[in-house]
Amino acid sequence: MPWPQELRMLKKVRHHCRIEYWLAGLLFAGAAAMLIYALLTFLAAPFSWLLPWRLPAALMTAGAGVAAIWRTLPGDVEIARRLDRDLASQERVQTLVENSGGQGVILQELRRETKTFFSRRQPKYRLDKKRFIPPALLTGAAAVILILSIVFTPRLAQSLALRQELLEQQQEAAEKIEEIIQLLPENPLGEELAAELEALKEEALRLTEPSEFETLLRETLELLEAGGEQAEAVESALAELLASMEMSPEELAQAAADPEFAEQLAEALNNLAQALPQNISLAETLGKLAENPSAADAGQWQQVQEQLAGLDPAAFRESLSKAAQAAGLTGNRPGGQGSGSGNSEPGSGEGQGSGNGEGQGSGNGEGQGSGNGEGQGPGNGQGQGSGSGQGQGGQGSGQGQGAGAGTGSAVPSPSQYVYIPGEGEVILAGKGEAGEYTLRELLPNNPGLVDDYADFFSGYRRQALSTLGRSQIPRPLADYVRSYFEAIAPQGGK
Amino acid sequence: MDLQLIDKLGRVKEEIGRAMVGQQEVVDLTLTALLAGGHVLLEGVPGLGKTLLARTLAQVLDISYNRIQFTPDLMPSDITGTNLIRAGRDEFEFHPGPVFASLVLADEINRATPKTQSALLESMQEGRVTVFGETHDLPRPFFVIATQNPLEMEGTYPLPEAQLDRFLFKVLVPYPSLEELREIVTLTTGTSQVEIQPLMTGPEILAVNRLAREVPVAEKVLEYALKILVATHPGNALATPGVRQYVQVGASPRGIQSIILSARVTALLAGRFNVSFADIEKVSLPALRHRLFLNFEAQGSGISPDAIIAEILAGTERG
Ligand SMILES: Nc1ncnc2c1ncn2[C@@H]1O[C@H](COP(=O)(O)OP(=O)(O)O)[C@@H](O)[C@H]1O
Ligand SMILES: [Mg+2]
Repeated sequence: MPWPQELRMLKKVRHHCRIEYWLAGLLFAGAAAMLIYALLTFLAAPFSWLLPWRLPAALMTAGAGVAAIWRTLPGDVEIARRLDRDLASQERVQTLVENSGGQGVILQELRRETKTFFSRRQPKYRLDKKRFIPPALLTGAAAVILILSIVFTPRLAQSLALRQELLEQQQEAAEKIEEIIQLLPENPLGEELAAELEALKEEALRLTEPSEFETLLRETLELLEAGGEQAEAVESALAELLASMEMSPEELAQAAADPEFAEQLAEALNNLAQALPQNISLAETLGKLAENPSAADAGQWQQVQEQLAGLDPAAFRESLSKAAQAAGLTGNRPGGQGSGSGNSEPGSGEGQGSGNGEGQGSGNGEGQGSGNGEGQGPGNGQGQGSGSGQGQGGQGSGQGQGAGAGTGSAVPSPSQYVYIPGEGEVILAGKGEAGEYTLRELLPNNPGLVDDYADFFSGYRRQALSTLGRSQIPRPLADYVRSYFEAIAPQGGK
Repeated sequence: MDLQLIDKLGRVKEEIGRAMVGQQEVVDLTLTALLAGGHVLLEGVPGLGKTLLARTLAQVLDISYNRIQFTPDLMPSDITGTNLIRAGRDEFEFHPGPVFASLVLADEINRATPKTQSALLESMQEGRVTVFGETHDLPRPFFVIATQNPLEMEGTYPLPEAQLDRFLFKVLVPYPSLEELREIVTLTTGTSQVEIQPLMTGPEILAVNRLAREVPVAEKVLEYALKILVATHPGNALATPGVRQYVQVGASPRGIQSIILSARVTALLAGRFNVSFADIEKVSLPALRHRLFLNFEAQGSGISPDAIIAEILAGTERG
């Protein structure tokens, strides 16, 4: 339907209405395009391949918007209604447009009368400001979102990358520990350590700060070291015990009747029981046996002998150093972790040896001894053992004695012990004239404090972190707890 | 030429105004109803000029006029007429009653019995009268102006709802203002007599009615009227809270016919050739107020149909 001839004078106003509609529509289309651009910018934080598609997508959206405006462009009747409203023409225009093809006296009159109506008052275009409010608001909001997306996306991407890195770091640490666990032998010593390492592995998956990983690795190393120490202790106690028990179970049962031997046996048994981790059953068995060795029968002795054979501290120790190497821990061992108890006497070691002699009828005895030296600390103790055997006619029973010589400088430098929680110096209140003194001053004379604290710290921390992992507490609070532990962590020579 | 009639309409109004002081709305609506071919129920206390208006209209339009005073003893045949035997002949001859006039004023219609009322209302509806099996056409045009007293008095028979529906408009006649009263006194108690000039004829009225039916109604304007009508139906989604609470039965389709037809005449009377939203709004009240039947709650709380229609008009969007 063409615009009625009689309404020629309204053509200009009609044109303005169309332009107004276009403008409002373009605002909408622009807002949609900006929103799409912003959306893709945000999405590009994890999916960076989206970046080059932003502009094409925004342009396509704008194009679709223009097409939509074109399709929904108001028709003549709609514009006529709008004009009737604006011009207070009492529905003349829409009636005329709706009946533009019609005939009849009244329609003719309507055309004539409408013409006179508009000849009396000039039709004036009034901008429909209200129509621009929603698109203008939307466009403004879209622009803000667009700016935000451009400003914040790099940071978002960065934090996503950091998060990814953290996950990888957690995974890596856990894998490292798992590797160590796999290398441990399947005996009570190995299993005991494996359980502790397992706990560390779980902890690794909960860490958030790089410094925490450092602490964790340090703890792992400490565990390994402690394992090594224990293995050494077990090894020497075991050698001593085995030396005493070098006979058949029946003979052993008989020999134990001798109170002197029984006492010797009880001491050796107790030594090994002390050296073993307390919570393994062998330690308990040995402890019980030591209470009254003479009461044990041959069967019990045989059982003990079998169990002792299963304990292979040397292999365990070896696997520990292998594990530490395999996990690449030895190379980057955090410095200055002075753990160890050293003898304060320089240059003296204690050696224990057990020797087996084999004798031959010729009367020549050959003895072999193996000795262990103790001496730890920054100085390494070395033990050497020498055994001498005696042979008796055709039978090779030998006894060996070993003497070990240990070397090492057993006094650690004070700085290696000094840990300073956090940044500052810890002031301890003293008594009498001494007044206040610092931990730094205290430590050289009380090196054991460090070990205690390190043990205390790692247990405390593990407990706290595993509790954090189990409970639902807000992240900032969890971080707060973590930072607390970082602050009180024993520090090496940093 | 038909169109000159439309110019005459303005002069008709002026001429009525010479005899009738004020009551512009009543005059307009009554004239509108007559030109639309509908009947009017005027409600007002006695003495407000209802009879004067009917008589004046008959004079200006130059049509036959009868006034029937309704009383309890009025019989149907007193209205319609009856068959009488003519002296000297042995056949019945129909003797037409007062309803046979182009403009019938049924004064105080609610004072007659329902039977008598319905005799008038049936002839109003059908445009003819049946007596002893014989039908007699009423003159064309045929208009009834009925009046009733708003006070429910002893011995009155309120018009049943179905009968009310037959009136195009129900118009309330208000009291004149002080100024109007002054004018009325001057006009009627002096020596001069107002001579009313006949300006139109019966056939011309019918022609105006035909023209009015041609007046176009825009889509949105019709939609507006329809929305108003359905809003009177308590079950409809467009019903206002007042309708839901107080209306028992809403307006029938006769309501929308009345609105559109009278709005067309209103446009013509205003010298326009299309129906506007304002035309619809103007006729909605007289066309609908007697078609809403309110429940007891409304009667108890003094709610009038006018208040409910006003609520509907305020709540109905144009376009
Ligand atoms: N609006 C009016 N204009 C002129 N005269 C009026 C008007 N209202 C009342 N009158 C006077 O009052 C008289 C009584 O009016 P009438 O038409 O008989 O009243 P109704 O029929 O309503 O009872 C009229 O004859 C007239 O003289
Ligand atoms: Mg009267």
